[in-house]
Formats: sequence, structure tokens, C-alpha cells
Amino acid sequence: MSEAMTSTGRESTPTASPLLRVRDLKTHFPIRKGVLSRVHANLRAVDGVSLDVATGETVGIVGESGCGKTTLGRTILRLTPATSGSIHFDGHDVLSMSSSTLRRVRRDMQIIFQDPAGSLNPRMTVASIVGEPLMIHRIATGRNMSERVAELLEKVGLTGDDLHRYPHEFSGGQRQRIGIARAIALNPKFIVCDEPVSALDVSIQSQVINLLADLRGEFGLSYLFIAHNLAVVRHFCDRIAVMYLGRIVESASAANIFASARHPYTMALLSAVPEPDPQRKRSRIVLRGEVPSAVDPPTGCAFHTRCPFATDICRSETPPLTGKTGLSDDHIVACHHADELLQFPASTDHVSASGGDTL
Amino acid sequence: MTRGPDQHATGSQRLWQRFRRNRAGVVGLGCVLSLLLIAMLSPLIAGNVPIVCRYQDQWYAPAVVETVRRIPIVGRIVRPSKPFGLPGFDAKSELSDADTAIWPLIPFGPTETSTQSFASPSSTHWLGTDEIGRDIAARMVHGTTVSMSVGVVAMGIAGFIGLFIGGIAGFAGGWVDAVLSRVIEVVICFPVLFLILSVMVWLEPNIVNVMIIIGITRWTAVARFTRGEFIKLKEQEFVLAARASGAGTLRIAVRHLLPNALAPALVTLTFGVAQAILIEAALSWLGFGVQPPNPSWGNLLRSAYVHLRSDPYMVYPPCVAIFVAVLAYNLVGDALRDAIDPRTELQART
Ligand SMILES: Nc1ncnc2c1ncn2[C@@H]1O[C@H](COP(=O)(O)OP(=O)(O)OP(=O)(O)O)[C@@H](O)[C@H]1O
Ligand SMILES: [Mg+2]
Repeated sequence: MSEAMTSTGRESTPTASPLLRVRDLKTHFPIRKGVLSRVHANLRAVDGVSLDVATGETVGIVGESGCGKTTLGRTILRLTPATSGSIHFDGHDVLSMSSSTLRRVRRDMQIIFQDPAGSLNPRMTVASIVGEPLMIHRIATGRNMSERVAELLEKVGLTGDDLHRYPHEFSGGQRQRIGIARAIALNPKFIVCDEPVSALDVSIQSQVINLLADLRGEFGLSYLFIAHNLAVVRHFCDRIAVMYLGRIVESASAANIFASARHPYTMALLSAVPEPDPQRKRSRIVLRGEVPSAVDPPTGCAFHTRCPFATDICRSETPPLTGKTGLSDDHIVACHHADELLQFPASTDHVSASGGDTL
Repeated sequence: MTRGPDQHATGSQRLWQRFRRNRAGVVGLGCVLSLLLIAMLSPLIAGNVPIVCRYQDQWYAPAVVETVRRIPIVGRIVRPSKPFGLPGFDAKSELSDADTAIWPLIPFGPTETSTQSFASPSSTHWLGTDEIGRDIAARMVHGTTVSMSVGVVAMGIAGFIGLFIGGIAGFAGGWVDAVLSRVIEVVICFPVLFLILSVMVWLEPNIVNVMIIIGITRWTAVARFTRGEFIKLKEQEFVLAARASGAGTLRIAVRHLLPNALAPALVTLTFGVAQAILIEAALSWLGFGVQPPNPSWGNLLRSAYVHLRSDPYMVYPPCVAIFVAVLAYNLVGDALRDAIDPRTELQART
């Protein structure tokens, strides 16, 4: 099935009904305090995210630690309850479906976790870990099951001999492969990859990325690929969304993010990406200070506390996430000064200003 | 990559391989198993009826029958072996030397009296006799049954209650957890011995009541550990992964949380058996536990205590037995705690 779908998905801009459509999604965690456990504040882990993933498309989510990437991924799969907004997957309303429908829909949407050790039950063998989804959905039993599991293991680069071993006997990369085998066991359409390689050695990272790319080609999978730096997602994603403090601040095709990023935060993230070509100097924005608290986010543009270009309007008004003149249609930015920043080609020293108030 | 000692071993084989590395634990386990064996087979070790014999041209196995009959519930199906079970039937005088008979190692019953009171240890009475001429060795062997079954049954009850309450509190969270946690705290505050003593005033002081009351007051440690484990585990990514795979609440609790929480519970229970043995001994010593003439380590200690000045030899056997049993269970608990953690192996190597 996949061949045709993959190619159409890859080339077309989001069609009328994408595989996944997220609108204004919010996930707030109540912070309780005191003897009576009164809700005393909310931690806004995800605070109004809209996002589409087309069939066969890979969308990258990039942002610093704590900006809500994991929460976003889990909320989409309804593993964490959403506060408001809507999620539509393959025509189903994820947030309002009954638990039996949810169970059925989850066959098509799976997740690979950030921590390869924590995501495998230490008391279960590889066979029962990978076989569990098959068992729950009554897809295979008995001998059939071991054959199917062995097949899955081979698909991810392990062998049938590993069936009866326990997770702690494997290396990090191998554990992540087990997690991947479990995720593809049900033949899903869509997988949330929550920083699948962050915990791995650099040498192993590309192997796992290549595996994910191969599976995408073979099964026509769509991915929501979460990462905390742009280098990892550069060649793997069709589209990249940059997240800051629970919101998307810039979104464009992978090529456009690298070629014409317009949000100062995206530029800062780009500064951290090693540039292989020494001719192409890029501006450097070194982020100073801490990520503000998601409990009490800054007014206006949440990034203004760390932005070298911030002005009064940034402190008082929240910039909308919209297209800008001179950018391609699918490139959207949430910055009051996006147009002005356009006039400073990304290579000037100007941008490297370290004083917070200069523009 | 670190591999286990045997790649193809099952979970319990691996556990044993790790447990085995702890010498003290292995010795403790040896003691515990011997004590359990003595407890189960006590009529075959000490008793005043033969294990097998030929009497009036018929074969009998009275001690074997008695051993089987002591198994709760199912044992009742077997009828006593007449005439050996009948009151007033003295096997020793009825059987002549000509009759074939294999006697227990200690050929005295736990309540069998003799004219030889306060006999010092000798080859006939290994540990001597008490004030009415009962063989102390035989009483010790039968007392083992009491101590072991109180320890194991009481902790079985405690384990069941503790896993259940702790599991629900940890898994459900919210107000359910708040309520159950208060309940646990209240039960912890009970001064167990005094509670047991006051309840025993109302209840008939017998071994079953002792088991039940220890069981329903000593589950708090298990419950707290289980609750903590469940809270820690339910946030783990493998639980989320199971949910993403479509696993329901029951499956997650039973397949994912419980097996991971069982380890600390089992360790706590092993230590708990040692405590239950001590509590039973204390109760019997105070006269609220097993009632004379039935033997238990506690009431043996009590009768020894009365004659401590004149006949001190009587006090050693129960003291040593209680000490060894408590120590053995604690050693096993320690070794189990280390062995059950799959990460111990990795730590030991790096
Ligand atoms: N279950 C929870 N209860 C309360 N707060 C939470 C919970 N899960 C996450 N948070 C908070 O939400 C915010 C976002 O967390 P999240 O794990 O989504 O970040 P992340 O972008 O995935 O970070 P990282 O790159 O470190 O994985 C953090 O401030 C975190 O402390
Ligand atoms: Mg994360």
C-alpha cells in the first residue's frame, strides 16, 4: 500500500483531511498544595498547539528540555489527559472517543519513548514485551506469536535468539530497537517518536535513525519526531515545528527552517547546529538565562525575556503564528519583528549582540 | 553489554543464580527449609507411634497417617489409623519386640508423660524432660510446627491484605489513596502486642486466632512498600507503553505493576515471618498463645523459666530455636532483597 501514499504525502502540502489534525491543544498540569490538595496553579506544559501531519509525512518537533514536547506527544495518544482543544486522527475525534474505540484506534497510533531503559518492563522477556500488543489485540497466539515476534525483531535488526532475554541484557541502542519493534507490532499508520535517539551514543544514533527511515519507506509510516536539537531532524523530517514554552513559534519545511528561519529562537537553535560548510557563516545567538517557568509564563511573547530583539510590544502582546511576506506559504512564524529581521541577513554580527535590549 | 550468568536461564533460575552468591543467605535458606521440613514432618521425627509397623498380622503406618491428617482441610479426608489413634492405646507396650516396627528418631510424643521428671539431657532424652516427665526434644520438634505455621500463615494473610490495600492506594491515587494512607497510618500506630492481648481476652487463645490477629495487624509494612512501588511504577514509560498497546487497567496492575512490586513485598514478608515468630513466642510465653499441654517454643520457654534456678538446661533449646529461626529468616530476607533486584548484577560488575 505504502509506495503511492508515501510519495503523495511527501510532496503535497497538507490536504483537506490530514492523518492527524491537532487544534489549539492545551495540556495543563494542576499543581496542588497544602493539606486540602487545592489546585493552586497550573503548569502549562502544552499551551495552544495546532499541528497537522499528512499521511506519509514526518513532522519534527524541536525545542529545549521542558518545553512540553513529551507532553504534546503523549497527549496526542491520549496517554496524558488534554485540558482543551481537539485532536482528530484518521477521521476519529481522539479526545472524545470511548475507551473501546480508543483501544482500536491505538492500533494505528503508537509511540517510541525517550528512555529506552524505562520503557521496557524489566521483568518481562523481549518475547512478551513485543508480543503484548499482539496478544491484547488477539492478532497472534502461541507458536504463531513467537514467529511473528521473531520476524519483528529481525525487522529492527535483532535476532530470534534474543526472544527470551531480559531488557537489562541489552545495550541502549538494542533496547531502543526493542521499543521500535513493539511500536510497529500492530502495523500502525503513525508513530510518535519521543527523542528516540537522545539517550544514545552519537555512533548509535544514526543507526537508529536509519532504521526509522527504512521502516517509514517499508510501511508508509507517518512520524511525529521529537528532538531537542535541529541537527537530528534536519535530513529526517519533511516539516519542522519549533516549540517554546508549550507553543509552536515557527513552522516550515525542513529546508526552509535551515534556509530562512525568521524567529529569533529558531535562529538560536540553528546557532547550535554545527555547520559543515565553513563558507556559509551563520549568525550566532547564544541563549542566555533559564527557560521561564511554565507555571507563570511571561506576558506577551513568551520568548521576550531571552530575546535580543525584544521591544515593548513583545512584552505586552502575544504574537500570532502567521505567514509573513517573503516566506513560502507553509512557513509560519510567531514573532512581531519577523519582517524586520528579514532585513538583516542572517549572517550579520548584529544578531550576535549579547545585550538583551539591542536591536 | 553485560549478560547474565546463563543466557537461556528463566527468570527464577537467574534469581537463584544471584541469590546463591550470598553465602549467609544460602545458610539462612538452609535453616529455613530444614525448619519447614521439621515442621511438616514432625510426627515422623518425634512421636509415640511407629512410622510403620506390623501389629496383629496387619501393616500400619500410624505416624504417616498422622502427618497427612495435620494438613489443613484435605488432611481430614484421611481417617485415623485405628487402634493407634485411640485414646489409651499405648503403642509402646502393645507392640512386642518381636513385632516389626520403625520408630521415629525421638520415640516420645510431645504430650507423653513419664515418671522421669526433670531428667538432665541423656541418650534416652536428648534434651532432658520437664516437670511432668515429657521429652523436651519431642516438644521442641512439635513446637516448630506451631512457630513455622504461625509465621507463614500470618504473613500470608498480611501479604494478601498489604498487596491489595497498598496496590489500590498506589494505583488509584487521589482521595482513595488519601483515605487508605490514613488507614495504614492508624494501623501502624496500634501497639500490636497490647492489641493482640486485649483481643485475646475476648477470643479463645488458640493458634488460629494468633495467626489471624498477627496477619491483620502486621500488613502495614507490605502495604506501604507496595503503595510506593505502584506510585513509582505507574509513571514509568513501560506502563504508558502498555497503555498505548491497548492494555486495560487490570492487565497493567497485574502484569506490569504487581510483578515489579512483588520483590519488595516478598522481602518485607520474609522479615515479617521472623517478627511473627517472635510475637507468637511472646504470646505463648504470656499464656495467650498456644495452650498447654500443646507445645510451642514460647510456652516451652515459659515452663523453663519457672525452673530456671534449679534446672537451667531446659531454657536453652527454645532460646536457640527462636534465635536461629529469626536470624535465618532475616538472612534470607537480606539475600532476597539483593538477588531480586536485576540491577544488582550490573552494579556488582562495574
Ligand atoms: N505528569 C506531570 N505532572 C506535572 N508536571 C509535568 C508532568 N509531566 C511533565 N510535566 C512538566 O511539564 C513540562 C513539560 O515537560 P515535558 O516532559 O513535556 O518536556 P520535554 O519538552 O519533553 O522535555 P525533555 O526534552 O526534557 O524531555 C515540564 O515543566 C515538566 O516538569
Ligand atoms: Mg521529553
